[in-house]
Amino acid sequence: MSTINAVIASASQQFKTSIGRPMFRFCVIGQPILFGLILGMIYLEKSNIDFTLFAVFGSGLSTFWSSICFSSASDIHRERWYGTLETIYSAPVGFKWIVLGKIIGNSIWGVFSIGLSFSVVVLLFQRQIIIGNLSLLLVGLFLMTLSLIAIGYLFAALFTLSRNARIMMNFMEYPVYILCGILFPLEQLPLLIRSFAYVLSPTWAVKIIHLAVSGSSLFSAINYIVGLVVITIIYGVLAVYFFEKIDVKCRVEATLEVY
Amino acid sequence: MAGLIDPIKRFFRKGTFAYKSTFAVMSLQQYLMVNLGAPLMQMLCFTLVANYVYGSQNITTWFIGNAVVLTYFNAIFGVGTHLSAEKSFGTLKLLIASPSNGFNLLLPRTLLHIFDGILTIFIGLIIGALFFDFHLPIEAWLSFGVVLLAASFSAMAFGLIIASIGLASRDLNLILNVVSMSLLGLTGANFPISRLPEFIQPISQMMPLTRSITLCRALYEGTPLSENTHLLLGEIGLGVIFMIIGTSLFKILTKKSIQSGVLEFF
Repeated sequence: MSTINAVIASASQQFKTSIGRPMFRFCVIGQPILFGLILGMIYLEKSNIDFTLFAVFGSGLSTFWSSICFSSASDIHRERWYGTLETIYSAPVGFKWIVLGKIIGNSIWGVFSIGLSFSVVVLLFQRQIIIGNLSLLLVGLFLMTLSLIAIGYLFAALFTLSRNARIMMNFMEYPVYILCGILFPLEQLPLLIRSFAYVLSPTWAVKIIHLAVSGSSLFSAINYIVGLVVITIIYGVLAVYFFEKIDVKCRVEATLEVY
Repeated sequence: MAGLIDPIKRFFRKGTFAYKSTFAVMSLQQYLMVNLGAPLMQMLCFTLVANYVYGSQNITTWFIGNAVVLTYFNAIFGVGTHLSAEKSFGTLKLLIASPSNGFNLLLPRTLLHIFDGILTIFIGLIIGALFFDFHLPIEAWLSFGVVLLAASFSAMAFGLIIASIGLASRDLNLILNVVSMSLLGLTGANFPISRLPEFIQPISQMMPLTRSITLCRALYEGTPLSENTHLLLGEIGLGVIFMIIGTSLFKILTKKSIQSGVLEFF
């Protein structure tokens, strides 16, 4: 019970404090608006389905991903700069649970950015938004949120012992937009790259959202749903494994704050 | 002769120091990821979007727009962050107290970024030649180079305005990102300017790179530079105006902050 309380408290604290950072404010407020406008203009003369998929949901999903890149992936690095990493690391409840809370706090803002981008694009462009299967869309968005929490968690673990976190988070943004079919159909990419894209969970989430927009049934999306759940679990397990490894490494080498 | 050479040497030395202060701390791998990786990925992403939206027969037009707009990375995230970095390092007061005037302090800071910006575009063009059917006739390369130089100059001069605004702002990251996104949207790199609402279109013409993108597309389509010299002069003129605004802002803000004793406390 104390673990759950710690996760909730960490999420709540992160939710309140992360928005104080200008870069994060840009990610969850500025970027959904500006990216939505740019994508809306680009997709202005495409069909309503394309507009819905790539201007409305594309801008939302991309900003959610950016918020993961510019917050969850670098939160450990930030704690190191603040000088608070040792304190949360040695907390009795466990470092990995506190980090999980932080990722959840950030992801709530990520969901907000999807809503903001959706509202801005719909209001300003006055286009007909196609959502063929609302329940499938909600399932897709829910699973996507869980999956992005898992990715953020995995990145947080991997970047705990890296000095390159800030560099990496800048570099990771666009490759995922490209590889996961967030801003254009995945079929634009060569087959070889497309197969690699399925290692990334946003690809599966985007497929589910595309099926929901085109009105497919829950049953026809079941392969993608199962794929997304499996890959999310793999990310989660890997993240926990890395946190355990890092814990041992940091204690043996005493290098937690040196990276 | 030495009297003439010394200021030039000093100018280049200042430019080199300013550039090194931004990137020397990085390893080669980090430098490549920041300076080339992220901009080129952005170019690739928006060109693929254009490939889907406008069709593969028009891809080169949109590829050129996205390649030229890459210079803003150096302008906004390089030149634009110089003065706030000095503030963070605690060296801003030394800079302000030096006998150099605003122009001498700011202009050298753009120097290597101008060439760096062109290098980024050039690598982007190689990617375009490999994947997006970008083939510029050999006789157009010189004109293309001149336009890229003008584009990079104008973008870096724009970066000086951002750098000066950064002196008075604690939220520079927010400003940098809003401006960079605005350049993506307003320069015509990704969609025709005519799609913008009428009241925004004049703003588009006041942005750096808008004219350079039009010029590069015209050169690619075979129109000689001599037919569009007004656009080239417009881009250079815009760069000069940005430089004057940037320098004046710098002078006004430093004077104001010295008077009120808040130089490093904004």
